[in-house]
Amino acid sequence: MGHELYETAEYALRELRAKGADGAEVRVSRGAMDELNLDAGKFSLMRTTFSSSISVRALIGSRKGTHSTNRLDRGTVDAAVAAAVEAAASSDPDEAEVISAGIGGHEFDLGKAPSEPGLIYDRMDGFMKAVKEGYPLTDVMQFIVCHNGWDAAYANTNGTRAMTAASQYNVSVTFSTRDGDRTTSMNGSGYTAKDLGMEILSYPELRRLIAGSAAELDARPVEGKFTGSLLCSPECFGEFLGEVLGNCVGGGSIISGTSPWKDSLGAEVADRRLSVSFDPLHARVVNGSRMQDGYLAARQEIISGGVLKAFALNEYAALKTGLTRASATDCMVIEPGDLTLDGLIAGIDRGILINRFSGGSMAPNGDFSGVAKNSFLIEGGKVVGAVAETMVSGNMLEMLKNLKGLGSEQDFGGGSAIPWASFDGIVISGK
Amino acid sequence: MLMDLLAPYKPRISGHTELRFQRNGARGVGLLKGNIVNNSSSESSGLSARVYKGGFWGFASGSEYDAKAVEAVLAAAERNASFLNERLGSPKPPFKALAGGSASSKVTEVTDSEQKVFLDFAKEVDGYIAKKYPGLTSRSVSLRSDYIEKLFITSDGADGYSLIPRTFLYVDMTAMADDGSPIDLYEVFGGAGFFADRFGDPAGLFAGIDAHHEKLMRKREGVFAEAGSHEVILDAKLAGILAHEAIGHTVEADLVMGGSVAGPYHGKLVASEMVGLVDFANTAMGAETPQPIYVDDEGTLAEDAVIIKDGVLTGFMHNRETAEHFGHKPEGNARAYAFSDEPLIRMRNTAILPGESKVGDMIASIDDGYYFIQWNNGQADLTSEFMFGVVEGYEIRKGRLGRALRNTTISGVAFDMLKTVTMLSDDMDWTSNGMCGKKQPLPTGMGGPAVKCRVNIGGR
Repeated sequence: MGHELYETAEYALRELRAKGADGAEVRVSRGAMDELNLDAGKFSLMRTTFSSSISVRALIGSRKGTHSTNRLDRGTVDAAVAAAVEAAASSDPDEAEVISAGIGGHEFDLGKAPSEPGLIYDRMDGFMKAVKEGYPLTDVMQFIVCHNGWDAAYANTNGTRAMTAASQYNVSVTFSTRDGDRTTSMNGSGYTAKDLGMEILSYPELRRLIAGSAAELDARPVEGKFTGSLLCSPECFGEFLGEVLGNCVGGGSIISGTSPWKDSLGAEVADRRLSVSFDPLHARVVNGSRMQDGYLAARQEIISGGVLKAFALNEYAALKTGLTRASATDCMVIEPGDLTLDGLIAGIDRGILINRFSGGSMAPNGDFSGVAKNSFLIEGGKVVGAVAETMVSGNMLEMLKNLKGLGSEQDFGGGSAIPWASFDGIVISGK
Repeated sequence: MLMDLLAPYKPRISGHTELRFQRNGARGVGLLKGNIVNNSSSESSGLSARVYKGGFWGFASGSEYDAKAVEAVLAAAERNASFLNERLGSPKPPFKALAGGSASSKVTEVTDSEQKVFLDFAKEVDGYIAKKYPGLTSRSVSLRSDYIEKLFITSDGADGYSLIPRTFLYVDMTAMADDGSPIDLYEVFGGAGFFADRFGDPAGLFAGIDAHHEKLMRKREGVFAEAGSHEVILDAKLAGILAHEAIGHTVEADLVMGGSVAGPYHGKLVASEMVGLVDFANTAMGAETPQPIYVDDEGTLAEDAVIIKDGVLTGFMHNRETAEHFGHKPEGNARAYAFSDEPLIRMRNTAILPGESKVGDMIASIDDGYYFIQWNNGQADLTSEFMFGVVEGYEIRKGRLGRALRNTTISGVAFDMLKTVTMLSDDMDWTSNGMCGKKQPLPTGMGGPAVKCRVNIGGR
C-alpha cells in the first residue's frame, strides 16, 4: 500500500498547524490508468495517465477553507496549505464546520491488481466479434475499457489515519442500430468490475439492450395522449430515485428547507414494498468507499417498507440541522420484489417500457417530464413496438406511492443494486 | 519559461506528435441561505504527449513537467501507439503536414483575485437578497471563476498558447406556491474573463436580482403548459442549446462516422432557408466569442466552421483525422479539457445566426403558444431528437404574453423542427457557463436569436 502518501499528508498537517489552522484534514492519492478506446467501430487510441492529488481542508476556529491540486512536491503542498489557510481566514465562523472525531488508524486493501492491456484488448476484440456475429446491424460507436489502480490516504488533526488501495476495470459502450437510412437512437450501458474475467457481452443489461436495439428501427410516436403505466429499467429507476433522494433527503435540500420530505421522518413516503439504502459495503458494489466524511462507512437505511428512516446528511448538514449524520450517502441499493420482467410486463394494460429517460431535472415538488428513448409501447400485457418522439410526465413523489410492481432481478453495475419497477399514473403523449 | 522546456523538442519529435503543457484553475464560493457551504480553490497541471502511428493514437500524461517527464510521456505515448500497431498493423501514412505556425490567445496572463474578494462579493449579493426578500424559502448564491491555459508544440513545427478564463455568479431563489409546492428559478450573471474583468460593485447586479425575483413571483402563480405540439418562441438561451445539443453534436465528424443522422443530410436542405448555423472560432459579429480558439490542440489554425447555410447542411466539425477521411479542411475543433485528456472534436462557439424580426413582432404573430426563455438541462442524440428542460416560460395568447409557466420539457427532431422556423429575431445572445459533456467536460459557447418554430411540449 502507498504508505509514503502518509508522509505527504503528515507534512501537510504539520504545515497547516504551523500556518494557523486549528484543525485540518488532508486527502492524498496517487494512481495510474490504462484506457483503450474504440471509435466508430475501430480501435483508435491507447491512453495512459499517471495521476496524483492532494486536497486540504483547514479550519481556523470554525472558519473553513479548502484547496486541491495535483502535485505532491513540497512546494506545491506548501502552496495548497497557504491557499486553504487564506480561504479559511477570509471566511465566517460556522459552528457546524468541524473536523471529524478521531477514529484511529485503518487500512483497506480492496485488492489492487496490475493493469493487463493485452487482456483489455482481447476482451474488447471478443466483444466486437460477438456483436458483429450476433447483431450485424448494430454499430458500436464508442467503446472504452480502462483499468484504474490507486492508493489513497486520509489524515486529520484528530488522529484519524486511513489508507486504501484498490483497482478496477470500467467498461462503457455506446451503440446504435442501422438498416439503410433507418437509425435508432443511440443507446449505451456500462459497468465496473474488479477484473475482466467475464466476457463483456455477458453483462446482462448490455446484452439485453443490444439484443433489443434492432426492434427500435421501427420506432414510431405514440398516438395522442393517455394516462398509463411506466415500466422502468433498472438504470431509469435508479436515475429517478437518485433525483428524488437528491431533492428530498440530500443535505442541501434539508438545510435550505426545500425538501418536500423535510418533516416526513418516520412517515410513509412510498409504497410499503419499497426499501432503499446506501451501502458502499454491499457485496456487489466494487470498491465502495470505506470512509464517509472522515468516519467508517456503513450501510445507511433511507426508506424501509415505504417509511422514511433517515436523511443522507454529512456531518456539516447534520450539525447544521440538529439531525443525525448518515453513515453512507452513495451506492444506492433498492431491495428487489417478486416479479420477473415478463410478469411486470404482463401486469400492464397500457404503458411504456422505458430504457432511457431524456428529461429535465425534477422540479423541487417532484414534477418531471421528458422523452422516452430506446423505449417500447406495452398494450394488453405485451410489448407491441418501439416508440419515438414520445414524452412521459408525472410527479416522482406521487409515482413512488403508485408503485405497481417491483422486479425480482436487480442490476449490479458495480456501484448500485437496482431492480425493475413499474408505476401507474404517468401521462404519456405522442403526436 | 515553460516554452523553454518544450521548444528544444520541436526538432526532435517526428511522425505526428503533439506535446502539450496545460493548467486548469478554479476558484469558487457558495452560500446557501447565508451559510458558506463552499470556499475553495483548485489547480491541476501537467504534461501530455500524443503520437499518431499507422492509423492509431498513443497518449500519455503525468503531473510532472521537467525534462525527465517530457521524455517519459513521449516514450509512453510512443509505446501505446505501438501497442495497437502490433495487434492491428494496417499502416496508414501520417497526416498531411500543416504549415508550422504560431498562434496565441489575446489573454496571456492569469489575473486571479483573492478568496476574500470572491467571498465578500458573494456575501454582499446574498445579504441584499436576504434583506429585501425575507419571504423566500431558500436562496443560494455561487460565484465561480475558472480558466484553462495551454502551451503546445507539434511535429509540424507549430506552437500555440491559449488562456481562456470565465467567471459566473449563479443566483437561485425558492419560494412556496399556494399549494405548498416549492418553486425555484435560477439566473446567471457573468461571462468570459477573470473576476475583475466581469464584476465590480455588487450593487450593479441588484436590478437584475430584482427582476429575477419578480419572475419567480410570477412563476409561483404559474400554470402548467399543455402537452402536445405547439407554436412557440425559443429565446436566445434555448436557441443556443438547440444549436449546440441538437445540431452541433450531430455534425461532429467522429459522430457522423459513428452513424449520426447528419451524414446522409450533407448538402441537403435541413432547415428553413432563413436558418444559418456557424461554429465560430474566435470572433462573431465583430466581437470576441466566449470561448475564443485561435489554434486548436493539434496545431490547426482556427477558422469558422459553417454548418448550415441558407437551410442547407454544408459542413461538419473536424479534427485532422476526420478531415482527411472526408476530404474536408480541418478548421480547429480538436480540443482537450485537461492535461491528461486527448483532444476530441468539440464545439467552440456554436450559434444560429440572427434574422430580421423584432421579438415583439414575433410574439404578436402567435395566437396560442408559448415563449420559452431559460433551460436547466438539455440532451440530444444522433437522430437529432432533442429534449430541453424549461424552467422559465410564458403563455402567448392572442399575440400577448400571458401567465408564467411551471417547469416543463420541450422536445423534437431538430432537422424536422428547423424546417418549421418562420421568424428569427435580429439580435442574439451568448451563454457559456456550463460544461459540454463528451467523454470529457469542456466549456463551450452557444448562442442565437429568438426563434419562432413548432416543438412538442411535455406536460400534464
